[in-house]
Amino acid sequence: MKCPIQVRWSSIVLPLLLTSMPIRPLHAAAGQSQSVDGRYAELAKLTPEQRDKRIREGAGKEGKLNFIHTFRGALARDHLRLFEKRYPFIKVEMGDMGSQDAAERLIAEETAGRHLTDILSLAVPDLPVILKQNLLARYATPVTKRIEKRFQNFLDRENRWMPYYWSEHGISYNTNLFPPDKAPKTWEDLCKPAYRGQVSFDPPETRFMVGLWTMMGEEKFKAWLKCMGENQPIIQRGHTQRMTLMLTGDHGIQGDNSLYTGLEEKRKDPKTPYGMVLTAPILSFAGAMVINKNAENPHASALYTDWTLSDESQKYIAGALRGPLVGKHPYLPDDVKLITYGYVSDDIVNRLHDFWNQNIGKK
Amino acid sequence: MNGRYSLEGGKIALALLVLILCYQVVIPLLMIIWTSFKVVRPGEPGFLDFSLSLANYARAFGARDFWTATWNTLRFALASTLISFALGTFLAWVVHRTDTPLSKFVNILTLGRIIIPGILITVSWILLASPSIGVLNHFIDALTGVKRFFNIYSFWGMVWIHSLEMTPLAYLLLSAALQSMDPRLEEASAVAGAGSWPTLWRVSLPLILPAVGSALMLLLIYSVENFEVPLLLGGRAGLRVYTTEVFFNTSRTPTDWGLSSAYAMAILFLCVALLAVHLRLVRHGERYQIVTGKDFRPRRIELGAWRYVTCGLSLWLVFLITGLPFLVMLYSSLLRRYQPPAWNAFQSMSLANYEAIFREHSYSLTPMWNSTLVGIGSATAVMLLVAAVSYFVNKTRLPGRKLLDFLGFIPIAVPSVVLGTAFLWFICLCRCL
Repeated sequence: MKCPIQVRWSSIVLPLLLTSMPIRPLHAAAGQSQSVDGRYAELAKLTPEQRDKRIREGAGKEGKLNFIHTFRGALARDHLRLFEKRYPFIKVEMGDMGSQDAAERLIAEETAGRHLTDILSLAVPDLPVILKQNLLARYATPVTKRIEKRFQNFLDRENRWMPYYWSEHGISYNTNLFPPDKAPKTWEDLCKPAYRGQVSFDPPETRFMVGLWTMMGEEKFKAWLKCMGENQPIIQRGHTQRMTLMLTGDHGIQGDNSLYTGLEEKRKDPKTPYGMVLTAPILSFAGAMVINKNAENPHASALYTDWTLSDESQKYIAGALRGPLVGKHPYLPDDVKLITYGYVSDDIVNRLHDFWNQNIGKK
Repeated sequence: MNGRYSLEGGKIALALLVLILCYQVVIPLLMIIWTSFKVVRPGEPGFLDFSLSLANYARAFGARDFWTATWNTLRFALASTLISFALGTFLAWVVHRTDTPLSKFVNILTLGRIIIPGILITVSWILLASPSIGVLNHFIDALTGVKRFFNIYSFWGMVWIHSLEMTPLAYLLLSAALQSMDPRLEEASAVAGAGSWPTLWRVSLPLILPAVGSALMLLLIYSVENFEVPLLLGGRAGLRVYTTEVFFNTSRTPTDWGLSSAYAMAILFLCVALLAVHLRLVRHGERYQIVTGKDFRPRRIELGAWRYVTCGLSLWLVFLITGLPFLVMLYSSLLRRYQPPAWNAFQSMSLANYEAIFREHSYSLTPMWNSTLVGIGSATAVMLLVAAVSYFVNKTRLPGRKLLDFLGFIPIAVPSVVLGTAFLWFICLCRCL
């Protein structure tokens, strides 16, 4: 990065910083005589057995991994525990945060030239800002062959990310307020007068809008937003909070939520009045592992990334009510219609937000 | 000789404090200001050059949403300030200047509310006064048949919650002023023949005017910056304010830092203007000082039978401020899934949630311990820093102390989410040095 004002900055700011910032050496990409991409390109040329051996040996030498997980809390820690149990020789420093925050953090760290994070778990719709900065290693791995055929389109041709689970947005409802025969059947049904003032959404959520746009096309999406805006939608922040309120009877229908949120409540209390609309297409996007192209522990990064598609990891993901890419989905029937999507350009995102603000956020 | 050295030492210490505050305050502020004039993101090419633009301001101020958010912010802040000030002043007066019984209990409960995070208070009031599921609405429906009596998802619902949240702060600010009033002036007024109300109006209130002005300004600034209430309720109430505009612009992907910074500048401008008014109000604080050689205790007004009325009112207030939200939280904590109070809900109560906290040892207790350490550490560091700043501002005549005073105050004017992010980006961009 060019710093044309370097001298001016240093004459003003340097004295301030020197009095207060601890002096720490910038992490060089230690021992990185070869780039991460270069290492991975070499791995791709090996036989599977040689490849596995090289990765394990390399990970053993590295001995550590810096990871940002976008599963939260106990969900992330229990997932990591499985990996640590299998590979006890790798010490993992993990933080968990939202996908968008994780993307911003990686950019901030790399901008500072500090390669603090080796791998992240991110939602694919949140990748554009990182892709623009060209921060990701290209990691081709044969484990992606395990991914079921219907999810192969989650893969990236350039191997910049590796999907390992999928998440969904679908319609759900309170069965006490709307018995199943009175519940909506399609996304378009949410516009009906019968559901006026009963359908809740988060404030404009990019990944949700991209899913609808992918499903409906732009003109139908605009028309749908217009009719939703006229149907008195409830706009309230927080998936979990909205689900809790819906299940207590505050309102009847969730237009924008993950279906597993309600199922988690039903797990705690089987009498929870929760219903899912499986006749409407489910909007599905992938959660993926990405490797920092300046990762200091590239072999450990590769080992963890491959592990996420292992049977034990996929079983855990299914147990956590997320969508595995290998094996049966924990609650969605095989014949449910899925609309799979990835990311779109900034222009489209801005347009979608404008449409939303014009029709739904217009108060 | 020793005096010269101590003066030099004082100047060095003051300079050091200024540097620390500059690092903590000025640098992120400069970052916010700089970012607001850039159309590229921090870290992208062109961010550090002088190609400045007003595009973010045009987008922010040119949008109808901005003026709507401005109007909403001002009326929300004003209404909350006036109500919390009135309630806080009443409680402070009852506790510290009257013979109302149970005043110590009221004092503890009022201050106890500060321990409870604001977001939990907001959620508690949603569960209490939501039109469909609110406990209070169920109660009123059962008694009178009137449905949806309260609607927390409204402007006045938001004002109500925020006013209750701010009342302990108003109480603290006014308590100090009421406790430091010399009773001899009031006694002199009584001796001169004035009754209780004229004494209150013409002697007591003017004495606490600087404190009143400070309290009002600070409450207004905190109300402008409030985030949880507009975030959780504003969407359904149809009310967008500055802080939620900043939040929604920073929670998009990709984050619109430029627009967020432009909004932050608007908040900053408003809060700096309020701060300037506050500083102007207190600049002649010496006029309100009383020169005396003796210690004193504030005179307690004897209310007679009215003390039972003030007791009842103040207990009712602290019940609303602290007791009721606490009861809702306690009730919720005993349920695996929240349900409005009903027989089957009470039957399903258990300690399962508490067992989960203590069973998963490293997942719950470690964060509690970490929070305790961070709380103690940061509170200690802040108190030491503030004590040093206050000493230099109030007890010395060293040049530069007014700058110290200003730097100590200015972070109030910056929303914490913007301050934190600006700091992060500044540290990251320092690789240019």
